Amino acid sequence: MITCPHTKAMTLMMTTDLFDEAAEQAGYVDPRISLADRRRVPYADGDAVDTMLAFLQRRHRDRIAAEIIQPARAARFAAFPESIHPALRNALRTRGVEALYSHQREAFDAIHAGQHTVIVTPTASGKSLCYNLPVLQAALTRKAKALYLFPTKALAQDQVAEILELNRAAKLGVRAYTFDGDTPGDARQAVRVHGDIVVSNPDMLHQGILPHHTKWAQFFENLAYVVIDELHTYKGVFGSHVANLLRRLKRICAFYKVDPVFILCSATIANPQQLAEHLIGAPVHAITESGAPQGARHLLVWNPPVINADLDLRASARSQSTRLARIATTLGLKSIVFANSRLEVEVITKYMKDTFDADPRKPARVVAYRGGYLPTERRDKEHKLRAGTIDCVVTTSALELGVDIGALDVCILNGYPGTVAAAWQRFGRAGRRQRKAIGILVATSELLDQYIARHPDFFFAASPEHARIDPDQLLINMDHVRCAAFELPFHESDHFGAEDLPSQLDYLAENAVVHRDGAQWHWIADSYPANTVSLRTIAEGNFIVVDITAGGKNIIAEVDYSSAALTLYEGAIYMVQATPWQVEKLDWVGRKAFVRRVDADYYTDAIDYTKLKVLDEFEHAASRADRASHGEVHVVRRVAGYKKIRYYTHENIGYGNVHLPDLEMHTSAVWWQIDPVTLANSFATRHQAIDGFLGAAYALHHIAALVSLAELRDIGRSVGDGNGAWSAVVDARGRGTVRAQDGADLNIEQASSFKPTLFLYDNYPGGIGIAVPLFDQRHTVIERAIQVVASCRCKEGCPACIGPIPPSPAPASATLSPRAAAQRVLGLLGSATASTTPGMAG
Amino acid sequence: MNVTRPLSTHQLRERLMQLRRERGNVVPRLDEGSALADLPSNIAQTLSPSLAERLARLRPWVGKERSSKVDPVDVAHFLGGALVDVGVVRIEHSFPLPLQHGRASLNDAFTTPSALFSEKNALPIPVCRTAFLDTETTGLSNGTGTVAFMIGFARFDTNALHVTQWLITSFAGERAMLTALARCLDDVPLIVTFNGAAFDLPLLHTRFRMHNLADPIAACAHADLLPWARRNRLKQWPDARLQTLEREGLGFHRVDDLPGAEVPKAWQQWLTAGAATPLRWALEHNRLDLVTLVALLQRASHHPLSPGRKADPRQAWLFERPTPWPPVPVAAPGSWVRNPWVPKRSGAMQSML
Ligand SMILES: [Zn+2]
Repeated sequence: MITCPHTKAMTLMMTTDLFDEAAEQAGYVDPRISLADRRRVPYADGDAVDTMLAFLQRRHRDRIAAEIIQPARAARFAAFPESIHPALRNALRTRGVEALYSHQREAFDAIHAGQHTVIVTPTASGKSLCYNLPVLQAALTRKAKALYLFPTKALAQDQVAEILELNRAAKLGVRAYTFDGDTPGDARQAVRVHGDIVVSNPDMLHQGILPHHTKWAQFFENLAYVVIDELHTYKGVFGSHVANLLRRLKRICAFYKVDPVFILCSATIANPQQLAEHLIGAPVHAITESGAPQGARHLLVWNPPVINADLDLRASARSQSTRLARIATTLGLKSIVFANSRLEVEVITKYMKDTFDADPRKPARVVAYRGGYLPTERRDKEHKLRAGTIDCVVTTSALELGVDIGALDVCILNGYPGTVAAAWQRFGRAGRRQRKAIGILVATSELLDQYIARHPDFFFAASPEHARIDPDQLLINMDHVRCAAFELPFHESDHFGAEDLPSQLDYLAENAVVHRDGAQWHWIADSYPANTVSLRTIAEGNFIVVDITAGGKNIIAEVDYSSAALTLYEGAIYMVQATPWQVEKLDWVGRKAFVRRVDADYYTDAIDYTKLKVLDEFEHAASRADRASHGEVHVVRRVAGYKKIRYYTHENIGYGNVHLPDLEMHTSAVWWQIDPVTLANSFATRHQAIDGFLGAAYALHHIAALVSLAELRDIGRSVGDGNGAWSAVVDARGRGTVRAQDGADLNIEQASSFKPTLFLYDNYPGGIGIAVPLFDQRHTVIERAIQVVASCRCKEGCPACIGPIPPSPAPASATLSPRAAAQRVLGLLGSATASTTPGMAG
Repeated sequence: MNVTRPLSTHQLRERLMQLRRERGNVVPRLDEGSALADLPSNIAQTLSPSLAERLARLRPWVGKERSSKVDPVDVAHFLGGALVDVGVVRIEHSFPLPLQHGRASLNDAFTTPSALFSEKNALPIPVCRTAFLDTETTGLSNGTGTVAFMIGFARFDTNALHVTQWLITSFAGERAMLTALARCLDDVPLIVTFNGAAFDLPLLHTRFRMHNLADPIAACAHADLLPWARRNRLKQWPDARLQTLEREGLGFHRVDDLPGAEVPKAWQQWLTAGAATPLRWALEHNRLDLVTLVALLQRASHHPLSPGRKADPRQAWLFERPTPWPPVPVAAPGSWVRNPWVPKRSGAMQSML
């Protein structure tokens, strides 16, 4: 039976009191709240931002865990450089630019002096002028060319539009083009020959430009600047690939006898200069002081109210975020809501649309924006956002980057985004030059969120993360040695990173990929290596979503490979703009999902689990009770099924099976084991021990992300036997279930041996260097995890300590609670001394 | 069923294992669990200089040692040509006219300056000033990693078709080969190719650029016979490839020809194992392609460019109306023509090492 959630909510309205927290917390979001808010919060003639702040402070002081004010910052100006080309100055004047901000001038001077330069600036600080100015100047005065790299196509198109406007303003005659997968074949020649500024992305440079550099000879011969915007996105595997890509670019530049200046722009991270230097392999001048003005920003950490003190159960962050967004919209403020998954985006959008877009004849006031839209749809949304016709946009990290969406007043983070840097970057999305803005981090019940709500100083004082790359990661490096060998022969005296290049090339020669001829290695294979190397972690091949309702074949969305298994399994409810489709058939090989429009009152959530096998132990530290190790592991991830969850009530109304191929990878990990005898003495049953391991894994995983300044998703966790024979997952009751290799339930009490292993693994194929530092910091990680679990106020366990544990029918005292079990496991792991025994002899 | 990611990670795994194996370490098997304590903690260390040393010991032919073993003059002789520069062998053939090629006959009338036009000046270009070009490459991909290891060049004089082929026996010869080609193109206003617009000429352009040499082809007009072939093939023929036209249209049947797809392998085998015989086959293959190209032009040029026709200035547009092909004789076997100068491909492969 299909129920309309709206009807349900309306019915509820008749039976509950206004602002009935309990009802709200149970998941019902009363549509009248916005009406009530409207009644109670008088429209301020002056600043609606102050009105909203005052209202929140008056009504919900208890939910505000912390509040800080970033004071307004006045503009600092600098004069135009003397040398600037008159036409360029004219163009800027026409566009109302009479002076430069101090950082723009500083950038111009450094770049003009030939220094590689990184500029770290907040959103809307006129960052693109930092590179456009020197680039246009050089194009006008000495016919110099520039290559711009943006991580995505969308950003590239924005940038070209901006240059063209400037160009038009004073007829500069500088030609700027995008060059990406969408550039038609007959236009490519014109771009190569006539482009003064070519705006592209790393993937295109990798597959489309460098392997064809001779076609770009004219361009490279005059290349003076390489601009890399959104530097902070070049981290992890992607960044490591791009660092190698830039090594290739520099080889090509050397071939054409040019040595371009690199200009990099970054959002705030801990180590912009270091990252830039790693990425381009040369010293970089850093400009970190912005001269742009900034209105004051009020930042709140919002902890949803406790709705069940016994269970320490809090209201959902989603309901709170929705509510805050409603208040903002009702007050006439423009807001943006960041959610951490596409699913959350769609659900929040639906709740918001239920309130504000109930009348289909009126233009939409609420819009969802996430990855996976088709380009036309995306551009339409961006246009509407800039035009200011949209009041509330709900988004994933897709809008973290510099897509121009105009000025916003309120930014709501539905949950901690996983890193300090991302949180600040999202906050940066709200704020106008002259006006106050509000940023609210709504804490979920997850460990990290609650940690921040309880230790807000940690968050506000924390340095943003270090963006780490490892350009010498062997596998990544080897990939690019291959690609580089295709582009130009290697000479004995060449270098390509820290590895011994001749050994690498001899290895390739042995596989008949290159051939050594005197002092050089030449490419000899009949292949095009760039096509087999993907710069992103996701495997090649996006999935397309095809709507077959009414016999049609409309493509409604694109989903990247890594999330396809979690969102497009057969039976899944797939939402686009809060409209539900159901996946009828998934063609995994053909990368297509066929969906049909449905009226579902539920959404679906994938159940996935992971098993690990140790391939190789590199190092271990053991005490009598436990053993910690790090080394190489083989990881298999499987989506086993899905849950159907009803809207508003969030009750679980069914399960479905999923049959998809496993995702496999080979990476590095840290793992812990407990001596079998000690383990047997500590727990009455093996199941209790499993509960303990699973709870400990949850806490350790979160703390490990915090300590190693990684994102939660950079690290994976798993509990199993270390040989892939069985693995344990938390079931719907919050208890451990053991599955055998084939996925069937396994009775662990009867198993012949029992050696549970707790894994934290580097979540990228080949690993990007998380495991070793984590192994070195294992004492800190365990100590903090013990603290977190011990200090939690829940009884059996909750998302803030060992993971969500639904209330159990049995009295807690009758059995060992998962939380107590986890404490016991952590205690045993913490007993280890620091007696490190290096695994490698010598 | 395997999907992209498992495949690629599997390959990665294999590669790591390979690297390890080479270093002489124990190779972990997937079922051995964690019992391998003596493996290095840093994968990167597996590529230590000792690998290079060991590889050098294992493969003594790497680098300079290899070339010292074979006398390049012997190689050139074996290939039927002469060593003209370091790493370049030139092979010359002259075919006196008239020349029978399947049912097609190339005669001296063909050399009269009546049929060919260049768009540039709309003046007839005598066939004897036209060059026929065909390259054999290390692969089929575009991009800078694909090299032409052989260039075939054909030109008429009044009584013969002269075919010059350059073959490089090492990468060191490429520059000299390109320079030699450039010299031959000095007085050539028109180049005729089959699929040269998309493949051979851009590839040669890239090769000239890689050696920082001016591209002599840029100054020539170009007639690509592939578009003409597409328009003029008969419906019952499977495609418009050169060898299809040769077989169906000209009635020439190759025997023991090295398939085009195996040509890159011939060069690889020479480089990695010193096998010279496949290079002979490749030379033969290239020569046949050139003669067929000439014969096809003869068919095509019966129909000169109509006046006033606008076209790509680099492309010499020669052919307007479909050309009737000669009728296929009823007694097919008798019409099989195998030219006496085509050698047999069978026989033991000869290594020069
Ligand atoms: Zn708890």
